[in-house]
Amino acid sequence: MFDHVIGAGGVGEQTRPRTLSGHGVLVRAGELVLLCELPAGRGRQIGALLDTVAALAGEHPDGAELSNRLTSLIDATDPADVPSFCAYGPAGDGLAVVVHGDAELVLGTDGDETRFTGQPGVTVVDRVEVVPAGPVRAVVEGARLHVAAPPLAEAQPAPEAEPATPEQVQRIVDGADEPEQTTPEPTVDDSIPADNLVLGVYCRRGHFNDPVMTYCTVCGITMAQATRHQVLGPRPALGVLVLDDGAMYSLVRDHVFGRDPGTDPAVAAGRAVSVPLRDPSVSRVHARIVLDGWDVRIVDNGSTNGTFVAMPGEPSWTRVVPGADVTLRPGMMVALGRRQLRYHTHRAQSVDFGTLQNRRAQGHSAHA
Amino acid sequence: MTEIFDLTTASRTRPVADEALPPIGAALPPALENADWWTDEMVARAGIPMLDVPIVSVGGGMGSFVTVDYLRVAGGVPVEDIRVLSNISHPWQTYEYLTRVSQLPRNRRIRSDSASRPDNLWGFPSYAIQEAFQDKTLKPLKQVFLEPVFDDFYTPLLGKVLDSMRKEADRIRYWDMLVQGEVRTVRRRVGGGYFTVLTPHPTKSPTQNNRPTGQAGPVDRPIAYRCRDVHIAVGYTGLRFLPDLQEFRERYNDYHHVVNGYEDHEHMYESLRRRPGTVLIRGGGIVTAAVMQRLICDRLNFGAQTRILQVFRTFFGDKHGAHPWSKRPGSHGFAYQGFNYPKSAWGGQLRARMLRREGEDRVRIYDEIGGTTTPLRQHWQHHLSRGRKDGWYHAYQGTIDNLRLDPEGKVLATLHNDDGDHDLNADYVVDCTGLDGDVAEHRVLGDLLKHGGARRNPLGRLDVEPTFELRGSANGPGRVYVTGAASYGGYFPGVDTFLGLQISAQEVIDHLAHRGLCRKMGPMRSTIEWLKWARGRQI
Amino acid sequence: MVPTILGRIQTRLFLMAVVGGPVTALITLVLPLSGPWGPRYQATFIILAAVAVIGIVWECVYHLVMQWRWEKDWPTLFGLFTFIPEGILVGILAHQDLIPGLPGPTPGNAFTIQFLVVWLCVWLAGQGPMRVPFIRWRFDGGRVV
Repeated sequence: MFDHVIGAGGVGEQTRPRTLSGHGVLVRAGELVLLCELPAGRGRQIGALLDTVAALAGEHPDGAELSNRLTSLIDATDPADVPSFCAYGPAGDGLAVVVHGDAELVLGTDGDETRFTGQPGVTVVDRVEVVPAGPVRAVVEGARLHVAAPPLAEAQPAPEAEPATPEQVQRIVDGADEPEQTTPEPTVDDSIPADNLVLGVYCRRGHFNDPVMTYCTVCGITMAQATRHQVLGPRPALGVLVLDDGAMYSLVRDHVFGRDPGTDPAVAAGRAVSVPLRDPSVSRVHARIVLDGWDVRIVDNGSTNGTFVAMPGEPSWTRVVPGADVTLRPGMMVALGRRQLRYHTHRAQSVDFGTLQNRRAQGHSAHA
Repeated sequence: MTEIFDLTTASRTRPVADEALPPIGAALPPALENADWWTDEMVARAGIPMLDVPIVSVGGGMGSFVTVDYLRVAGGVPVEDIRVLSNISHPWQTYEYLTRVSQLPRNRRIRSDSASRPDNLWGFPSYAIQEAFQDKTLKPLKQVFLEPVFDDFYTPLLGKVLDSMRKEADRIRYWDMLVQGEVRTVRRRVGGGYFTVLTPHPTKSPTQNNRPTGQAGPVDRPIAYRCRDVHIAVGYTGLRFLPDLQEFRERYNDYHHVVNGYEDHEHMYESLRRRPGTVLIRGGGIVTAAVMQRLICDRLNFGAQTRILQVFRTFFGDKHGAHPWSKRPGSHGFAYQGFNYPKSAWGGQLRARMLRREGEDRVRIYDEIGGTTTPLRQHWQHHLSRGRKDGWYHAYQGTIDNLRLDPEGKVLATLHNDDGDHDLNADYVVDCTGLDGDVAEHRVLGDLLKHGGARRNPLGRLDVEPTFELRGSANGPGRVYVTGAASYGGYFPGVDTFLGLQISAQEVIDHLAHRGLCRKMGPMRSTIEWLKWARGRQI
Repeated sequence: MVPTILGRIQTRLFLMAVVGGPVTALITLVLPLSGPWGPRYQATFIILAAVAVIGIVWECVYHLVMQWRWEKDWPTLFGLFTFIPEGILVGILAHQDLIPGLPGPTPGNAFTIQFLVVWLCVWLAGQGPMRVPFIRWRFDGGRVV
C-alpha cells in the first residue's frame, strides 16, 4: 500500500535507496509522509510510528487523522521516548502537519516559507490553508530532506491493494547538502547504513529483531513471549562473511566480489562494498552478496569459473546458476574461482534456523 | 472481543496507534487481563474455547519432559489427562541449541553425572554402563570407578543423551500430549483449578493432532485449558547479555566483535584459524572452558595463533571456602567442581541441610556453594599451563566495561581492578556469563506474581514449597507446581540440572499421590515399571 | 548416591540384610567349614551381623572423613575399598573369638571368602540396582525409610 519510491530532490535515485551519512528514515505511504530520526534503542517506537503511517495509508489516507494518531501515540508514552519526527498529509485542500521533538518542517509557498518546529512541544497543525507551491523541506536530526513536489499537486492514486514489501519503503537521507554535519561518532555513520527497512518484531525491551529469533540478538531475552506483531524497522547487521584469509565483512549492505569490483555500478554508486580478490581464477566482477529482507543471497555475475556453494559435510559443491540467486544458510561456504568465503550469523539461534528461513521464504512467495 | 488476540497474525493494516505501544502480553480482553480470578462465564463471553485437562505442563523443555515422564511412569497418569503446552517442538530443542553454540556438539561430553538420566527415572543402568555395553569397552566403567579422585568425572556424550530422550518420549507417548503454541497466562478459576491460555502455533504439519475438536475459527485462536493442576517449567527467561555487549551492539550495529558464549560465534573461530588474533573471554564457568578448549584445539589442529585473555571477576588463586576443613579447590582464577553444584546437593548432606533452612540462612548457603565453577579436566588444563609459559594465555582479575571499537577495527575494553584501570585490546570479546533467570521478565511467571498470588523467594525467583508447590497460588483442589530454573533459591538447590529436574519431579509426583490424584509407586510397581523401560515397552 | 549419616546407616543395615543375608545363606553351603549345618550357619550369620553392627561405627567414621570433602560426596572407590579396614577388624575379632554368639573361632580362609563375596555383592547392589525398587533412595541420601 506504500506508494512507489519517493522522488527526492537532489537524490534522484528512483529504484534503490542510498546509503548516506545521516541517520533518519523516510516513509512515504500514498500521500502521507513521515521523516523520523533513528536513535538506538527506540526501535519499538519507530516501528509504531511507521506502522501507523502504513496502516492509515491503507484505510484512510488523511493528514488530519495521521496527526491525530501520531499525537495520541506520543501522548500514550513518555514523549521524550518518541524519536523526533515530522509528518504531513493532505487535509481538505491543505496539509495537516505534525512535528515532534528536534525536527523542523519547512513548507515553501510562493516565494515564502512557513516553518514548523517540534522544539517547545509537539506542534500540530490540522490544516495549513496554503497549498505549498515550492519544495517541502524537512529536517530531522541533521538529516535534510527535500520533497520535490507538493503532495496535492501531484496526487496519484495509490496502487491497488498490493502488499507492501520493505523494499517499497525507502530510507533516504541526504548528506550532500548538510552543512552543519558535525562528526559525532565516526563509526556510527559508517555502520548503520540500513539500506532497507524490514519487517521484524520487537523484544520486550524494545530491540528490533528477525521474526524467527528465539532470543533477542541485542539483549538475549527470549522472544517466545513477545508478540509476533511484525512492524517495519531498520535492518541490523545480518551476519558476517569470513574470507579464506580471515578477513571479515559485516553484512550491513551488499558486497561485490571480483578482481575489479570497483567497476560495478552498485559499488560506484556507494550502495555496495567492494571486495577485491587478487586471483586470476576470479572474474572482474565475479559475484555479489545481496541482502534481501532478512536473507543473504549470493548472485553469480556470469563469472568465467562460476560460483559454487556447499554446506560443510556436503559431498559436492552446487553451482549457482548465473543470474539466479541462492539464499545462504549459516555456515555455508561459497567458492569464487579458487577463493572461498563463508557466511556466519549470530542469528543461527536454533538447530532448525534453516527451516525457519525456508518457511519465511515460502511465506514471501505466497504474498508475491 | 476476540480479535484482540489476533496479534500473531495481525496484518500491518492494523493500526498500532489504537493500543499506543501495547505492553507485551496485554492481548487479553481487559475484563480477563485485569482479573485475578476468572469464571467460566468470563472466558466463554470472551469467545475463548475451553478444554478440560486435569494436568497441564507449561514449558515443554527438559523440565516438562522429566515431569511428564514421572507422571506417566510413576504416577500412572494416562496420556489423555496430561497436556504439555510448549513453544518448542521437542523437549531438548533449547538445550541442544545452547550446548551446540557453546561448543558442545553431539559427539562431545556434557557436564553431567553418569546416573543423571532424564530418560530414566531410576538412573540405572547409568550412561557409563550403557556406553560400556554398547561400545564393548570397560573404559567408562573404569572411569566411574576411579572418579573423581584418580580420574576426571565420567560424563555422557550429548548425542547419546538426546537419543535416549527421544526413545523415552516415544515410549511415554509424549508427542500425543504435546500442544505447540505460546502460553499467555495462568489464572485461577473461580470454583477451583486454573485456566491456562494458549495461542496455538499455526499448524505446522498435518500430523499435528492436538487441536480441540469442534473448535470454531482459525487454529491460531487462543484456547483456555481448564485444569486442576498446572506444572510450570519454562526455564530461563533468556541469555544474559551484559549491558556492555548490548550497548556495543546498539552503538555500532556490530554483532561479531562482541559475542555471547551462548550464541553462534563460529565466525570468530573461522577467522582466527586463518589469521592471528586476540580473544578476550569474560567468565570462568563451563562455557568459558568450552570456548577455551575450542580455541586450544584449533591451535593444535590448525596452528591457530590465538592469544587468549581471560578476565575473572572473582579470581580463585587457591582452594577456598568458609570452613577450614572443607574447601573448594581452585587455581589460576578457576574454581573447580565436577558439576554445577557440590554433589551432595542432589540428595546428600547439602540437600538435607538446605531443606531445614529459611530466608537469610538459606541465602548464606547459596552464597557458600555459589560462584562459577568449572570441572578440572586434565586435557585443557595441561594446555593452559603451556599457554601461560609460552605467553599466549593470560588471566586477569577484575571487571571490564566501556567496550568500544578503535579505528583499526579492534575492540578496546577498560579493565578495572586493584591495580587501577587500563585498556585491553582484542579482536573479539566473548561473554560467558550465563543465562538470565529473572522471573518477572517472563510473561507467564510475571503474570503469576501479579495476578496469581505467587511470591518471590529470598533469591528473587519464585517461592516454592519443598514439594515445589508455588506458594500462595493454591486454588481449591488445584495447585501450581514450578520446577526448573524459576524455582532456584528454594529448599533444593540443584533445580536447573538433569538430576535436579528429576528430584523436583519426584517431589511433585509424591505430592500429587499424597493428594490422592495419582498412584504412589512402591518398590514392586517401581520394579515392574523399570522392566517395562528396560524392554522399551510403550506405556 | 551421596549419603547422609542416617542414609549410610540405613543403607548398610538394609543391604546387609536383603543382599548380604541371601548371599550368606548360599555361600555357607560351599565355605570350607566343618561340623553340622546349624553351627555353620550360626557362624556365618553372626559374622554378617557383626559386619553390620560394627559398620554403624564405621559409618560414623566415614561420615566424619567425608566432612573434609568439599562436595560432601563419597566416591565409588571409597565405598569399595573400605572393605580393607573393616575386614581386618572383623577378621581379627572373629579369629580371636571375641564376637559374642560365635560357636568358635572362624577359620581365616572361610571368613575371607564370605566377607569379600558379601561385601562385593552389597557394594554392587548399592551402585545401581538398589535404585530400581527404591526410586527415592538416592535422592534421600541413602535413607530407605
